[in-house]
Amino acid sequence: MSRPIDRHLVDQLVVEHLPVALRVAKRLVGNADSAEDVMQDALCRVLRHWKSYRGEAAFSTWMMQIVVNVAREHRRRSHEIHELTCDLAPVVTTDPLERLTVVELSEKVRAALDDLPDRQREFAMLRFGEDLPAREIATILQISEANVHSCVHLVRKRIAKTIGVDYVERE
Amino acid sequence: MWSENNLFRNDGDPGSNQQTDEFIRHSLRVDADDRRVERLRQYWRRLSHQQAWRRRKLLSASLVAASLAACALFFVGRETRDDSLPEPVSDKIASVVDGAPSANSVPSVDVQGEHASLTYGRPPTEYERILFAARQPRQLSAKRPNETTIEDLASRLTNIPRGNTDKVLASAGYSQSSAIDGLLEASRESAQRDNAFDALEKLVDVEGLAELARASRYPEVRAALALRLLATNSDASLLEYLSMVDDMAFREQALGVAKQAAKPPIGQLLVLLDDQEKSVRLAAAMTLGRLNGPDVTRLLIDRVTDQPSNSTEAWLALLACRGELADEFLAYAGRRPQLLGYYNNARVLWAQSIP
Repeated sequence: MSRPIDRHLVDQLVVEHLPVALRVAKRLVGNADSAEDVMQDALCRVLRHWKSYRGEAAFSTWMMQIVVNVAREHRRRSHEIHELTCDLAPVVTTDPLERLTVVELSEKVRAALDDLPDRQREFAMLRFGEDLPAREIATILQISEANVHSCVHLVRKRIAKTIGVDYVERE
Repeated sequence: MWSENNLFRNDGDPGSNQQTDEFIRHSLRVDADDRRVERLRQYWRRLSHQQAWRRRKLLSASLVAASLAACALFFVGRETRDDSLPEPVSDKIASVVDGAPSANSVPSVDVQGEHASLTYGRPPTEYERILFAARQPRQLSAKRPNETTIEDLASRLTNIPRGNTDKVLASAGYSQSSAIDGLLEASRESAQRDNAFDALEKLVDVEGLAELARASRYPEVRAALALRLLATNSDASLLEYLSMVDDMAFREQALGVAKQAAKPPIGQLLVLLDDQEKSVRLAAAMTLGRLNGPDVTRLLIDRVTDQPSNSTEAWLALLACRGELADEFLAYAGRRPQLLGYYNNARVLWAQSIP
């Protein structure tokens, strides 16, 4: 089989997808410093294995798969629980009470996400964090698309439970 | 405005899920720090540059080595030719004295005769011996009187008892090694694979199959042999399969075929979690983890909940399992003080033993 990608194109694509990959790594490992370590490891792997990329999926999917694997190994190695710290978007309201409510609610949601099992947590970060389509998430996490769809409801349900409200599945 | 009450309201409003998702997205918002991105970009360029430089260096080194080898071959060849055709000293002197070429120095037209004179009456040189040895198998195989095709040989071998293989090989005109090579080559085609493997098993036994899998240069044959070892319902073949899993060089390939086994030996693997050999226990855990599935997960959960203190490898297998059930149980174990210690212990062991 002929090689569908050349070295210069790999350079361009890696540089292009670095910001997204860094964001994903940051969400997965919980803090920016560890995310940078993860990205360095991931870049080494990309460089080592770029010839194995056959163009069956988008390059970004392939690269994200590596980032997720490295982040997973990093979490296993470190044995630390990193709570996710996020940069909240500015709340469009002048009412300080409303702003406080949103910030508190966001913290609760993040805590609920931190409590998820690893696999569901990874799913949530890709689905809700990066808004990736189900097919791409299925490829990255090597699960079926049906599993991805069922995960959406599972995650919503867990968050609802943590927040303390009832959630009924809707289509 | 977002609040607990309207975030998950179930009022039949089709936009509600969207609103929930949007809020989760809002809670997960992170920025890719520009400085970090730039640092990573530079890191990538440096890595990339280093790799290119190493590749150039390797290429030039191999070019130099190749040209040195070519020069050496050229000079050695010339020296050998000079040794085999020593120019008579008297002729050289005569040509110098007379100023005219001697009769012997005139190039001969009889090439056949000249070649005969090069080899006649002397033992072969080292080079000629190597050349002869290199050509020998092709010449011998061309002359094999009662040659049988490898497919025929495979079907004949599968139909006889194990002790009689020598007779069949001799009658077919194959040595054991040439038959093994031929059968391995034939097993690259999936249509002939089962027949070829049956024949190979008659020739080399189960241990031999594992050795052949390790030595084979064809990944598809390696994978198929690993699958056969796993699927064959015997302790010896399962142990050989686990030895392949234990070997870092073949682990991924051996584990990769585990799912393809029609009836994986789950019961035997669960028993091997208590084997005396640590490597066997770990390999069994990895295989069970790769087999995965609700049945395996349920059996492993039963095992770790029945005897949590004596099930380190079962914990490892559960860590390797993927699926909702395994995730749920591990999350549960992470919250239960009675199980947390064993769970953490397994995670540490995982990090140490399974790179």
